[in-house]
Amino acid sequence: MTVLPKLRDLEDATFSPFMEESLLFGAHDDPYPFLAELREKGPVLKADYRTVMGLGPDITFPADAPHYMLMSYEACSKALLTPSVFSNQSYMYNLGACFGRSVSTMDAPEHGRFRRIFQKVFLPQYVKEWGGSVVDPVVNELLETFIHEGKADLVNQFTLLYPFGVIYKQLDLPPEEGKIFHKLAVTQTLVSVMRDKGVEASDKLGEFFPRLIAQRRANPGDDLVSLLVQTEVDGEYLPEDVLVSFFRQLINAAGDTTYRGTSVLLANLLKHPDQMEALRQDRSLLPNAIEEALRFDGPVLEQSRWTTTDIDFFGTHIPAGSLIHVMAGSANRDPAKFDNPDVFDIRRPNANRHLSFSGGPHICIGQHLARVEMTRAINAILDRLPNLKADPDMPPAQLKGAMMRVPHHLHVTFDPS
Amino acid sequence: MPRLTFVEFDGQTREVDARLGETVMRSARNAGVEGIIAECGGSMTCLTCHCYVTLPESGSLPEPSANEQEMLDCVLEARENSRLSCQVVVTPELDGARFDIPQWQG
Repeated sequence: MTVLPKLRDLEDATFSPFMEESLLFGAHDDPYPFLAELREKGPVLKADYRTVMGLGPDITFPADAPHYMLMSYEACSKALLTPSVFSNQSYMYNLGACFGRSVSTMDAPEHGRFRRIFQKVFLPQYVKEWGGSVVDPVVNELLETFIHEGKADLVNQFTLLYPFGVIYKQLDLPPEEGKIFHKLAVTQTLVSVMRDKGVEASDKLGEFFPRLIAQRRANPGDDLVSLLVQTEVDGEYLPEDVLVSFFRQLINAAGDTTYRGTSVLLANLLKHPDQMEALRQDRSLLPNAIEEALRFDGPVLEQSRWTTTDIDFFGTHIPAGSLIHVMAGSANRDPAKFDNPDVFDIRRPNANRHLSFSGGPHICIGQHLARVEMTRAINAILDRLPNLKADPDMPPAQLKGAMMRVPHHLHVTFDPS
Repeated sequence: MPRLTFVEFDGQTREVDARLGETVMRSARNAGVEGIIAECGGSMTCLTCHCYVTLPESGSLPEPSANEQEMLDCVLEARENSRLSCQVVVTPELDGARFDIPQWQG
């Protein structure tokens, strides 16, 4: 097969998963004061994060499983580093239902075997090359669509688009196909709140990717699909179902989080013009500024785990078979770990100790790529949009969400060129 | 107990009496060496426990495994004496070794 397969759209082509997002992630302005209140009650609480935030429960979880929230940095970090007790089986229910056999749902020893293979192509050396060959062209092309206007909504005209542009380029998908891919990929995650739609989207991606894999096996290029289908470790190729789930997950894991992370950093720089100016003058501050944005308002507030045995954990007895909410959003604001945790400070010495990329064996496989993308995007914005500031005639940026965070607009002005 | 010296990028030095059989990464973490982050907890996936090892004349250290070597090919600012400290086990032959920590982990 040499022809690129076609993706089939949803039966209801007008359905927009983007409108349903608040069902899944919430629309809270600022969950942190409430998280601080909960954290003061103790490091471990018997509660379901979705429920305490007033969201509907995740319908994929077993209804009778008890829920526990980990609030302190120490408890969160300890759980992530104890995978034999705090297992990733929790993701079998939701991610497993939409992505299939994914590295995110696996535990040792199966996890390590597959992780090592995927990891190879996401290590810093490979990723650095993508910065120039993939990320820069996407970033510059987007900036050129509005750079002459002197004003923009940096979310809808930039951050919401560039990480997905990077993925389409990495997978070598035509841009029209990319849009349907994006829609299906977001729809499949709605499985936790709208099961039928989620399953339909997951099935459609499930018929597309095996064909794409076959096409790239027959005609390998230098794209990520070709690279992964040919990658082997100890003489072993990745099984097709594991590859398919990986591609299904890419949009959410690589696109959605980077869009959110970049938007959070920009929102906070616009809110603190002195720090933006310092960064513009001294770009060596950028790596730490990225870490601080991820700490201060990391896009993913909560990670889940499943207890494999009973455990006494920070003074609370947690039975086997409990759903654990590892509250990275609370750990990242824990005053026991971070001084003045509610202050955004791009010079914070330990900003990089945040748990926004998780920790332990499942730590974000794309973290190096995320940093490269954010670095390229912010540098280009600072270089090409002089005098960048929040548009005084428009409402200021407001982050939203309880599970995942993002501002839906970033209205700015700058000197046109 | 073998004595190990950790030197942070800013020059701050810490001497640690390490337990035999422990990894160098854990010895550093237990002693509060900030530059050894080890965010994956020793599963050889994150590269954030990277350091440069200098052995005393009498010292010795086994070569990195194929898997560790593959990861070392990818660290930022790799050098001849780069190691992942989560893969180095404390032995009597490590007494007096010095571990310099790079500016950026990853």
